[in-house]
Amino acid sequence: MDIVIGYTADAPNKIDKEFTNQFTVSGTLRKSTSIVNPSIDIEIADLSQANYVYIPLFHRYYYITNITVTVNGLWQVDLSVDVLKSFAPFIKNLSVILSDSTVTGANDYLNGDIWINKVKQFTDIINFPNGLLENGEYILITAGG
Amino acid sequence: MASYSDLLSAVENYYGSGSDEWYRLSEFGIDSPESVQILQSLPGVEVTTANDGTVLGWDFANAFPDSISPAAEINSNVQSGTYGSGAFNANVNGTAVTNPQTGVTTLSSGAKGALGTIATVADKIGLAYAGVSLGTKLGKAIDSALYNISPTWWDEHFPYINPETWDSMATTEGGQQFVRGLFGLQNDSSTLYLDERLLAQTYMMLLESGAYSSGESTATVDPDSSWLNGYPNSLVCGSSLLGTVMRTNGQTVYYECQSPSPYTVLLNNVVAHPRIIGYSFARDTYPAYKYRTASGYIPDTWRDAYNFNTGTTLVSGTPYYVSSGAGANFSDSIPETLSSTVNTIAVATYNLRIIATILIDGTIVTPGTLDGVNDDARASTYIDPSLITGTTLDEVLQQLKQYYPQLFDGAVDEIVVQPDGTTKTVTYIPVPQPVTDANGQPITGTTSQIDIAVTPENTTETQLQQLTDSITETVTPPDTGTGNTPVIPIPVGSANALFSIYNPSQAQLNNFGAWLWSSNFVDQLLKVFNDPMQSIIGLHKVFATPPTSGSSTIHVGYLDSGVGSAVVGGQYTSVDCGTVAIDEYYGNVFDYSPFTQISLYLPFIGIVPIDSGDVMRSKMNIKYHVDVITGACLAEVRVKRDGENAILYTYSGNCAVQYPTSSGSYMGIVGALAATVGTVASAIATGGATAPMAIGAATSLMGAHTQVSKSGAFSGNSGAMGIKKPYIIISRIQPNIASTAAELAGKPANKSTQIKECNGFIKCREFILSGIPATESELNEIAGLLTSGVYV
Repeated sequence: MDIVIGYTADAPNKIDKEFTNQFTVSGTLRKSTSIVNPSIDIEIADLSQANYVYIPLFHRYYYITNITVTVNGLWQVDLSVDVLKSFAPFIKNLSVILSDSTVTGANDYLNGDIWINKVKQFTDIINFPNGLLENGEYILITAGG
Repeated sequence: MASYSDLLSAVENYYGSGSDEWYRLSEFGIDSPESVQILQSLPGVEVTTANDGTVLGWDFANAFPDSISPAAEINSNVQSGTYGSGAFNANVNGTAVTNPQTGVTTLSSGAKGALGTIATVADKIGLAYAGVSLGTKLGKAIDSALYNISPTWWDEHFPYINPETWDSMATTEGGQQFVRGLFGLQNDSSTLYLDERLLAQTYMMLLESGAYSSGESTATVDPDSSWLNGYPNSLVCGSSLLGTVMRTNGQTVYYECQSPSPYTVLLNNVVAHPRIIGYSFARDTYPAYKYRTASGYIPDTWRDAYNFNTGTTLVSGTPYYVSSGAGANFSDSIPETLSSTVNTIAVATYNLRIIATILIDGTIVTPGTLDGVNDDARASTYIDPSLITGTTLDEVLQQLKQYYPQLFDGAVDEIVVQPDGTTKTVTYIPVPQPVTDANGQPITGTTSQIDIAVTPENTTETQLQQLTDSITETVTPPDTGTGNTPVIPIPVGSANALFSIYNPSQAQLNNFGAWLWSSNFVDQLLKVFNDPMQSIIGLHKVFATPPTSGSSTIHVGYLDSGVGSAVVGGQYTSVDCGTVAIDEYYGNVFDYSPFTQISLYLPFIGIVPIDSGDVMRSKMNIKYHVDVITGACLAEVRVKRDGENAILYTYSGNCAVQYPTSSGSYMGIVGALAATVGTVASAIATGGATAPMAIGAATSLMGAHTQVSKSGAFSGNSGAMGIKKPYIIISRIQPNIASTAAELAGKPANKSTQIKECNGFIKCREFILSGIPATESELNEIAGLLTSGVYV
């Protein structure tokens, strides 16, 4: 079984992550392990710069959540599946209804939590050009025609 | 538009008919110190004063009754100015113009009882706006790069070019300086006029800042150049000096003196000086120039010989001496160095010109240009700085008038009475108006803005209004509405056989009152009525012009009072208050409830709330329909937007002020007013406006305005003391959105799409996780991430 070990600097909630500084180690599983959160002992010189793993056999990408050095010199690597990268092609093909978006479908006239304002206000006045008489006109009504 | 007679009416209304003030103005005009004090006391009169106390203009805002004569009547008044076609001192007919947007009417004071010159709208113009306008008139295009130098470039430069005169041109308000601008001359509400002195001021400012520099280097010497006395005149080329030119090649500064051929070049009275760092003589001939340089300083450029005939520089060579004899060009007596005493050196000529050059320790000045200011290819006038060489404001202004008289075409004079009774004349010239860039800074606009012969699209507005316009473009095409409301028919007809309705003036009413209480009337009327006052049905003032049908004497019963009066011919009349535009300010949700709340002040009705969603992006028109007999009024608020043109709001009130004609009628009036007060109190107790629209628990309180009642019932006698023109009150919040909010949190959206079509941050509201070969826990995690937000 091959294990590809490397590094990603992308945010955990990014779907397609860049996987760099890869190197592959090969070996045989000697104990049972979960494929969602596997824990694998690896004989390797240095794992301190790695944070990301791909296991082709499991078809999944993983974050390294913990590294423990065992008494016999092995590195015990605890992994947690990155569902976004592992299933990126399927996720990208999903049809969704967006609720918030940086660009696609963003609408400045929809209500949302982004619209934050200060408590201060300001007032504009728009005057109409004309109005009623400033000084009225007398109306006298007398009896008789 | 108001006339001089309206001015007198305003004085009459304020001080009273027959008052001393009224007589004084009508007899002596408005150029006496006392008249100035009278005018200053009129309500609505504003005086624009420069920083040095000079009165720049009088603005008679709201000082005139609404019964204003049209332009044709104005011209029949006595005018002291005539419209001239000359470039200078053209006096415009004294026509008052009301700005349809601001409602400000301005008259300038004149002499001898007549309106002297301009009557127009005056406004305070920001220095940046004025500077760009004037720069465009000088043939310069100004763009946003100028503001990258300093956002307040104009404010930093204008006051300091001619500080001794600046305070007579500028006015300060709120800590900021402005200049006075006029528009509305001759019914043209779109051309701006500025003080001609500002044109000279702007030229001097641009010149000093390098706007007229080509960037080419020029040579200069230290301010203390007394050591040059005698230099290079001492290079006497024969008996006369052809000419001495101080040059620089960008690296050195030198004097050149060319001798007329053929003459002997002499160095007379030349004394060595530390600032003379080299000299040479060159023979004007081709192909070889023979020259000699002072030892100890031989820069490469100094070696190059300059051919005055061809204007070319030959390849540098090696200095050498030539001996006398055939082919000799220079005498061996040319020393390698100049002594500290007087030197006289004779240089033999060879029927050719000799070029003498002294290299001096001068200063090379390479003036820079001014970023953001360039010649405008579309301008018709460019200023040649070699013609405008004045050093004072007056000198520059006179030179501009002399060499570029076309800049002053259409100039107008405004004669302004000062508080001490003297007059001051200020000449204004038409200028193009700029547009504003994305940051609200004035910049030279399109061709139509530059060519002042074409009416600009924009009228002059304050800078704030310009900024408002620049950010009100609607990004998303709005949904449009359609439909019109039915036309409201005004009822007609009256029972004029049973009563008579008159529209008397104040004087006529006084005369009628005198007749009413004469013994003759009382004796006659007692035969018909028990109480003579039963013959008077009613007397009130209505604040709309009633329709009249001729005039008649006032009849009471069968008695003729003999007092003339206009006769009211119809019961109903209408007053169109005009149309205003309500534009979006932010271009987003902030322009609508609950962030923006709009109220409407209606005369004789009060302040009423209206839905911002109904009127935003629309043109609003208000029309009053008035029943002159009862005073009942109906205000229609018509909204025109997209395909919609409808009356969306109607409010009723009463615009009649009742006058008591008997003790009974008086008690009736007072009782009605007391009931109105009670209504006001209850209105405040229950509040007035609707609750804010809920948009989410976290933000409903943040965005909501405090709901308060802004006025109560406002009719009749109370309304007569209020403002007679409607206005719109728009209360807006101040946004505080983080600059990266859209990137990190996303803007609201409601769009069906595939995730692969998206960019940036997205949150999903609805989706179906089908076709993903993941475990249940993984699917739940995917769902959670899509809901909380992912980056694509």
